[in-house]
Amino acid sequence: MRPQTARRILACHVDDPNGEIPPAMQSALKSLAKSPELQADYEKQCGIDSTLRTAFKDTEVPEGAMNAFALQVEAIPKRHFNPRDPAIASVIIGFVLLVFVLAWDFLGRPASFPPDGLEIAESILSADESYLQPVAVSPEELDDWFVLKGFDGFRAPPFLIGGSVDSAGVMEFEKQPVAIVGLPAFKARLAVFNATSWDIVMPDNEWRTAQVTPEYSAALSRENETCFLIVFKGSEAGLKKIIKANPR
Amino acid sequence: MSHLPKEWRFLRSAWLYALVLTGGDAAATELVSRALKGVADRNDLVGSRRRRRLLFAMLYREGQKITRRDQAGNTTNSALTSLHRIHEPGRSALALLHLRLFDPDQIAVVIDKTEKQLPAILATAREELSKSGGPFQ
Repeated sequence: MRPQTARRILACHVDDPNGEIPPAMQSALKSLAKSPELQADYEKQCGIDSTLRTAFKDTEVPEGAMNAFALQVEAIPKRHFNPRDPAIASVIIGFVLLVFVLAWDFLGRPASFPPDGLEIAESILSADESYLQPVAVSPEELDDWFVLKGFDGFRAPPFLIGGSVDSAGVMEFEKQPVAIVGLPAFKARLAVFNATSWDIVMPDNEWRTAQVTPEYSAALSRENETCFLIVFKGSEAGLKKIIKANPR
Repeated sequence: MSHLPKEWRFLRSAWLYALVLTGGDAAATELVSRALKGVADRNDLVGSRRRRRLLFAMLYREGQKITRRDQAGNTTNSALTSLHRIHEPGRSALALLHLRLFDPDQIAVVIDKTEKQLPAILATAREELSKSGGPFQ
């Protein structure tokens, strides 16, 4: 250890007969042997410190002073849990709010309309209708009709297709095919697409509804790998009524 | 007989430090009492270590406003009287080092200096004491 470093360590040290010597101090003490000047300074320091140690040790604190301090300490109010304490109340309110927000988020997320479904509904509403063709096939033959148009595995909830179908077509959304049929009985369009192509996470055979625009609402359901999206001209409440009246 | 709770037993050391700052028994009691009131009024202090450090910082701050006495007060200890007469921050640094309540880094915080400055401050204080004569000769 360099004498300069040793000097700095030694200056901040006071001998403690009952205490342990820290490793840094042990190294500093070893370096005393290498520097007579440092040794002399340290001995002088020890003399001063010894006098001071004795002085502090021998000085008695007056009993009256200690009694006065004890009374002052006794008068300090103890900190108890008090819900009316503004600090505690703030913490409680903050905690309750946090739990509420987390619960809202946790419970609300599964019940919400999948954002990808909403995007598909918006694209159906904004796209020109050139992809739609009038069809005169029966609902049972629609599957074959879509195979001819390049869309495999078309199927739909029977309550929707049971009525008449006036038009059909295949549009592309983000390079994925979406089969669309017009349902004049419901003033709606049904879109059928593969769920795995988009991030649509929801339990099977449940319907989620949302108001897409002020005029149109949408309902989405999933059955295995297939999604059914109804885009309805009307309010979300009206669409819910249709779904409720036709349970699976 | 006083019964200070364990976490407040450092008040004995606080009084000794105040004695070094004021040079008199009564003034030391008065100084600690005022600092204690200041700490008690702070309801944001949770840890006893922080409370202790704040009390000593308050003693240091108030102690600097007190004029040094030429004559010792009721205390008969000439070594502490010599310590009382030397300059700050060395006086407080040396007193706090001997009271063993704080590590060097904490002493530096109390006297509002850096830990790096502390060795030089202590060396100067010891030098002043050795020149003051009396018990340090």
